[in-house]
Amino acid sequence: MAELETQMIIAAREGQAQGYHYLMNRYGRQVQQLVAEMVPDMRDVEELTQDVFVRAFEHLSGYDPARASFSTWLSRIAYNTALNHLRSHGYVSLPLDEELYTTPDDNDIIHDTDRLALLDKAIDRLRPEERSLLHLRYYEGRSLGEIAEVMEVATGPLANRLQRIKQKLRKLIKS
Amino acid sequence: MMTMTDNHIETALRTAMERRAAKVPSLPDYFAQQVMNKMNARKENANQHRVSIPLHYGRGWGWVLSIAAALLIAFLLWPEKQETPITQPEAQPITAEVNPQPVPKPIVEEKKEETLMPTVQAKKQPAKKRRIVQQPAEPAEEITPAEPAEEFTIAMVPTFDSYADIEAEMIDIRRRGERIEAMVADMIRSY
Repeated sequence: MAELETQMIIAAREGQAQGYHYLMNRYGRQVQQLVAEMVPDMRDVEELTQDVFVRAFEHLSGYDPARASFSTWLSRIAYNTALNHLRSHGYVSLPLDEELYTTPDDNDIIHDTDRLALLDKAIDRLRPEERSLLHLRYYEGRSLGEIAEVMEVATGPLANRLQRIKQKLRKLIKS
Repeated sequence: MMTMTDNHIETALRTAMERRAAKVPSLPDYFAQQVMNKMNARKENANQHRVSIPLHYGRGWGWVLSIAAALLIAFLLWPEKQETPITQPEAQPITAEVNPQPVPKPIVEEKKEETLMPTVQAKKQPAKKRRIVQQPAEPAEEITPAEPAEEFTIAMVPTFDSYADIEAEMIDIRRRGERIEAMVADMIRSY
């Protein structure tokens, strides 16, 4: 599988349509889901997913297999494309008021049935970078090293960040 | 009922993220074709851009402008010719030398020289001859050997000297300007 992928990357580098189609079929959904986690409007998601592949194919000569897998490299492009799109549209993170965290201690217990719905709402209130971190970690099952490569940050601060996100979610759910 | 411990939230997050990802509609069938179209359009745009602008902004024209500016500065700061100002006392002795005693022999010799090689003599006597050459009123007289005597007497009039200097200066400036203009035109042509 890895050998086939390498061949297809080489083919795409040479401008062969076969290579492009293979990579789009294999990674199209992955890119779309990551972008969708960051960008709320689905019309923008499709457009941005296209842009990610255009950018990736244009800069395919810059891809170094020794540094990261193609999937990680592509995710980085997707992450940056989505973030740039949000910034160009005046992206301001949702304000997480301190009041949200000051909740009674006895509210620590919640019903199992409501838990996922509450969690989903709480995730919606996170910043796009935080949502993408959760997506890469819990949906794609990536290691912190890979996520650090995608988000272009160090692994240490990333682990702290993940911990903070969990605390934030817990407080949001409590509220 | 349960408490949200770290383990619970990990499991819950996994489930939540899977659900969220599943909600995203699948890509349309024409997705790959759209990407290819986009790529082709970008390539065409890039090619058109290259054709329409042969010189990149700020590169070619920047050089031309900087060279032109340098030439202008050089022209303005060029050291002027150091000519000793001609004063009346200097001019007086010459007129006194020629007018009161019209000795025939030296005048004839001088006339002969002038008729044979007017330009050479002009070089030999730069102070006098240059002034004669720059006479705006009768420039032909200086060159034509037919009437050298008149030319000589005109040159002796001291009041014309200052005008001649100004005229010479103006011509000199004009020539320098023309030279710079030609150089700049050559440079632009070469670019």
